[in-house]
Amino acid sequence: MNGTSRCRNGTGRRGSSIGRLRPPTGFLFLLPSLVIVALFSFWPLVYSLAMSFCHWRIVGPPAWCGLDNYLRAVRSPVFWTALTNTAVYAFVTVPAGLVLALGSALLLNRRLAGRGAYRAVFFFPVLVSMVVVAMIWSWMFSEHVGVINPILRAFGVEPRAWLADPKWAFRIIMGMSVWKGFGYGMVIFLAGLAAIPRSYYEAAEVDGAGPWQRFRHVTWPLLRPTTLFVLVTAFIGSFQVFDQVYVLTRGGPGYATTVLVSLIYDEAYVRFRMGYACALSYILFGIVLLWTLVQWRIMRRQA
Amino acid sequence: MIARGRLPLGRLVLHLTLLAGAAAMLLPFLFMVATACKDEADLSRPALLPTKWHWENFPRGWMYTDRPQGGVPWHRRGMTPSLLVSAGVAVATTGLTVLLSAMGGFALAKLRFRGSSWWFAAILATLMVPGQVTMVPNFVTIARLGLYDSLAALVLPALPLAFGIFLMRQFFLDLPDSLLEAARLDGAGPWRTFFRIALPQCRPAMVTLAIFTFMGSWNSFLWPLIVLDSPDKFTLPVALLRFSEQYVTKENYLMAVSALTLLPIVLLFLCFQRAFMTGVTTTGLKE
Repeated sequence: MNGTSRCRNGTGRRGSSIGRLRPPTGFLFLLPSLVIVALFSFWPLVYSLAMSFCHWRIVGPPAWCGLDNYLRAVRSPVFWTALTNTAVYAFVTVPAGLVLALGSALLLNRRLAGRGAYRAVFFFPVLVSMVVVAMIWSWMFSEHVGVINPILRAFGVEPRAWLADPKWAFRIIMGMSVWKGFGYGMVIFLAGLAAIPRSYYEAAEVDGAGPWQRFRHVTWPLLRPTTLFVLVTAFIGSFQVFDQVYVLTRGGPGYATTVLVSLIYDEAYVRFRMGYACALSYILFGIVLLWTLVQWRIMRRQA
Repeated sequence: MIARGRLPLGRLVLHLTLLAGAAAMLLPFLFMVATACKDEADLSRPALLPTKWHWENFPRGWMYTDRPQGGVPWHRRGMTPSLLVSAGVAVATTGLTVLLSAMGGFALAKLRFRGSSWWFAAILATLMVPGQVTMVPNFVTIARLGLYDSLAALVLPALPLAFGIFLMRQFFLDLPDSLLEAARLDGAGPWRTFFRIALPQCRPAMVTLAIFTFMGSWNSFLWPLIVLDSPDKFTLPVALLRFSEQYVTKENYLMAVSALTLLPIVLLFLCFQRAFMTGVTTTGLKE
């Protein structure tokens, strides 16, 4: 592009062929992305952290308040409810989804009539918008027009308004999320399973290993990286659960299904307490980081 | 070998299990279609299927409104504006993401410059940040830029560039340097080399990235919910939610509209099923 070409050292350590020629061109290629990432990712990270130390209600200037927002969170019972619900959601849906994903992948990893169709069917809800899925489930579980009450009545269960029941509402949200999401893990496990050489199983069989032992000593250890990947991404996603809660219950009845992100949404866009919302989002960020690190540690120690 | 199904009984149990699973996955969608075809009387009856299948509920539900419609142009009626908004936003998001990610990934893989590995690490690190952290400041930025309630607000902050750059860089790293060297010897500049030589080599990666970006944009809910205000700019998920709030008793129409918004994704999936499945494994992207 300009006259500074042919300076061999100016281009980064592993200097590839074109890079050697025109040093600034690479930067120009990256520049549009950098501008957008800087504006909508780097800057907001800093801004959000700064605002988390301020009282700020969108109109008027933010006022420095130190740790007040964080203290308010720690003292707020609703925050602890939301945190508990989020934790319950994560530690129920992720293991349940993992078991279903691995189970269906194991079943569908063999030669089988209709294998492709089964895979497609199990994967399908992953593609569908959570809003649509939640609409369907909301209707299924509605008291008067839904499909669940008539079915259960055949088994002698009294009809009820499932989503207005504090106990059941959250269970339904969790069940729906597992149902919708496990196909994603299944596809990843299928790829992991396909990468295990058949000769390993043959050797295990020669040694007299039964199906369970083959799974325990061949499949499971070799799937470890896949499992770690599925676990980490699923946990990160589950801490950020929002869409299904918003559509199905808005966090209610009471705060029975309120999770961290629905609290952030309410504080920011209903009550306009932007500073508090930023503090909550940083707490969420911290939890995600911490838990991801813990998982790496645990998995590495086991390896 | 993994169980070859020595017992016919084992095979039978396996197939029954899978069939039950498949039914559990599909039944809610079938209920959706069945409910969409019910009339008012059927809705209040606890029957699974409609007594008469009212397929006309699909166009009716799509167009349904209880507000005055006089003199409104066609693209302002029913769900059509939302369809156009969703499609336009998804196409723009996808196009920009693929182009900018390919450029950025190419730069980081083949045009390294001073500080490029540092930039790569910084961009990659943003993948760890939950969207909610940037949500509030981005809302403010969008408002300050005068983009609140605009389609640009749906596109610009929602470009999955960190992920896209990471993916494209991986693919460009595998591209042999000799190919680019040959182009250079032929007198092609970096831009020409990029568009004519490098880009066509990475079509699979671009297809994968395009499919997932499109899907993510088409299904995204929270961000459009926040930055949109006027109903004629609602994306389909937001419009669907408003529909369900406004017409609480019109379950049949709601299910009809829900089913129709699924259609593009279903078609996409049927056309690109292989790319979807391999895409998940090569990218590990989730929404």
